[in-house]
Amino acid sequence: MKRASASTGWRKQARLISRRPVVLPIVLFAIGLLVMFHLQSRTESGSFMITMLQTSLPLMCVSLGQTAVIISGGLDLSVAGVMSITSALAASHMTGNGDMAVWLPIMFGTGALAGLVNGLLVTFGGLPSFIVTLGTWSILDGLALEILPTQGGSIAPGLENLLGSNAATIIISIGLLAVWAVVRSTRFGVTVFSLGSGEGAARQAGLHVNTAKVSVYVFSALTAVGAGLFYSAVVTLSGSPTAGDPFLLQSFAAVVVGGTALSGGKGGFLGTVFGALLLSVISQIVVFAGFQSYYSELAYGAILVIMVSVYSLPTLIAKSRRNTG
Amino acid sequence: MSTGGIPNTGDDRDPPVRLSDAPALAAVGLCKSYGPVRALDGASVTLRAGEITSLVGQNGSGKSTLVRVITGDTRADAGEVLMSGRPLHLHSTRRAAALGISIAFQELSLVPDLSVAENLLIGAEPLLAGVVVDKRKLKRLAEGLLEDLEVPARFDVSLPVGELPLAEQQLVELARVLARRPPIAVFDEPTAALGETAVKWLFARMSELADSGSAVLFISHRLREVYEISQRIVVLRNGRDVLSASKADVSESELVQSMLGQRLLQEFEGASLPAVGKEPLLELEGVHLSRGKGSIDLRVREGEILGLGGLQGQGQRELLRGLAGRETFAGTVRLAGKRLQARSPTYAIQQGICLIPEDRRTEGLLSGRSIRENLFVGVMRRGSAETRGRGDRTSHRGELLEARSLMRRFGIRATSQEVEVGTLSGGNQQKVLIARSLAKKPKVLLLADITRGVDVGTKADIFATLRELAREGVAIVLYSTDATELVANCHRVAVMYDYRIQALLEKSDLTEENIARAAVGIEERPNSEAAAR
Repeated sequence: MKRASASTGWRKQARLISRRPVVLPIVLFAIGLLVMFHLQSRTESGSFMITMLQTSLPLMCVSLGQTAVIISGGLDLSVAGVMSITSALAASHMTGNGDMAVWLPIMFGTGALAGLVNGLLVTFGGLPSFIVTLGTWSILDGLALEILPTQGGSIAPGLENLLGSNAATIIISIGLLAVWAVVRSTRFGVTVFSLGSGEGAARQAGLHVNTAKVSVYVFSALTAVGAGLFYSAVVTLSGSPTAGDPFLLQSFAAVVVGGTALSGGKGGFLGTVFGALLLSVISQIVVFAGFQSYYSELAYGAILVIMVSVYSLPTLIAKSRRNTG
Repeated sequence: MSTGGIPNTGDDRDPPVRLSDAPALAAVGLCKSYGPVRALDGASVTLRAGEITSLVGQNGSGKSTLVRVITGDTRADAGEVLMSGRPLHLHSTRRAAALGISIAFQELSLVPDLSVAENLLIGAEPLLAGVVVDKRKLKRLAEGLLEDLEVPARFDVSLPVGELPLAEQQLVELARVLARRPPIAVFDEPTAALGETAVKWLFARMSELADSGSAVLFISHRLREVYEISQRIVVLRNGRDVLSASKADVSESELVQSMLGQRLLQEFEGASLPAVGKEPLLELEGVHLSRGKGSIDLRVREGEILGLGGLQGQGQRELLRGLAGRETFAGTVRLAGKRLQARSPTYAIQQGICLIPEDRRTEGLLSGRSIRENLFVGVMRRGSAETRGRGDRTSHRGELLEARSLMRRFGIRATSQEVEVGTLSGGNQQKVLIARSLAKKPKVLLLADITRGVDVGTKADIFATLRELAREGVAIVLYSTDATELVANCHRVAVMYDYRIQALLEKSDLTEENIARAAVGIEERPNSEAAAR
């Protein structure tokens, strides 16, 4: 009897995690922060938090689009290419404040075009998103190298000042969450979730399936442009034709650690935000604890595998309950 | 037998029709081929406003394709669909929905991760400022809607649909269609997953819908239901409508005859059961299902077909799964006198206990692989010298020939043994599953409601196979929700209620009425009556 009730309590918690997976990255992030403060007690915690938020912002931004694509049941590898070409364009052409009016629209236009190509090929070509976006990623990386062969260049100081302030960091972070909140509760959002959950069902229910599918790739590319801009203007202060590449795996990691299912249909951006922050705090801990920075890669991998296992627990338990109950 | 005396839809085709008299929806001379297979071959169906029309036919007779054409999911190669006399150009399901054609699908068209409320009002969500979905209003509307429809189940509308049991998901699917009060409503085998109360509820709602002027199309394999609810009956055979009559003009046997075509009726009605051996093969003693209060004692003899009856969810499924090693229960199980410790499916199969699961999609078949591969998956593990000794090519050829002969024996209809299982019709998939289990040469065969959603012809095939197996000495435990089926095909029937056996009906007591009584928990009446006699 006792065992039975204990196991139902455990199952209840497992179900809670499966329904609100966001709890887990938040708790882990909080633990990470405490460890962090313990390690470097002298530093002021407030400014440290802002800095961390600032350096994580590009990852959060690109992961916003990635979250949407993954929820729709796809993958977007081309975000890395979009970030790279944005960085290359910004550092080579948008060096003065006066260039912004011309080049910002061009950058967002390029991103939107890449997303549109992805979306059209995936939706109407019936091609796997993995392959399509792998292709566009490679093309965009090639173009980025053509535009800016080596690292360097400079970004319009106006943009650096505008985005570099602490206030901007906080406003943008909140802005990203707000964008998600709106997207998620529109009919478009409902369609994106249904796409990943059961595309056939969504079609039969008469939702605008094709439009939503194309749009989600465009949305993803646009967030990648934003991420590329912020990264170049605030984090590196220069351009790189391969700026986006490290963000590819990190964006998947942030989304997955944040509790969004790779199989689609489930998840949300709030989890992703804390997923990104968790990755960031881990890399800081690795550095402050005196390890070589490549240990952070190892830590990323470990946390990814552990979290995915934890998320799959409720399903396993539900299965075993179905079997025994 | 000729169907000459019965009016054919051919008569309905006579043009011109005055628009006011025109049927709500008419499919005329639809043809559709998938490769070499002609799914529809000039099928015509007419739906009139205020009437419930039933569509019956064997699996593969074209019912699903017809529905797909009407819903705009598939385009016909030839023929047209008229709505109130005007030709429709259905190029998408969206378009059909906008025109007021609403369908409850057999395979359900719900989005599992969205909530019940979101699914009920999908595409028609209340919006705030025209953009954002009003969650609170959505919930309220959904609750009101379920209440208005008097849906015979209570559930939290904010739960994801995927977490509900199948029968309740089916109710959500039905409620979604009913709530829209569509001018044309199609119900594709809605009763397959429903219990009796829910079926009654659905029929009441369908009649209301028809009374309010909608044209309703009802698809079912259960002829009794067809007679109960519909005004007109249309029979499809080989992609063509072979019979269209008002209910009063056609008898059940005529209906079956026209569904089966050339086939003899006796084949469907079932032959005499084979004799049962003396020795008990499978013995259950003091078996306790995890939710059950009482214990289960049961003996199944060699060559016996034992039915498991009762309402849905009374532990039949758990009992079968437990025997097959898929879940655990307390108690003793003996196979030919030897005590079993079935802790895994593999062990159970090695001992000769095979389960054919109810959910063929997720539990049984590799839908992306060929019929041949599905037939022989798992057989390898037997590791007989024959299979192991052969080189790859020979064994492949052997498999190929064996697959063909199995397909012939079980009447699996497909162009070749290399066809993907996922593309077969439900009944054919079921036959593949059965054929596969037999390739493992089981001593005990457990069947979990496998005839659900299977047409009469396939059912007849399946039961003929079961009798043949019983004759060879296999003990068969057959769970079915269809009492008629149990009475016709079983030696004895154990009726389950609340996770235990309520009544064990011997052949002399074996009537549908007795099964129905025990199923609702009426204590041991059949037995005491028998004693009184």
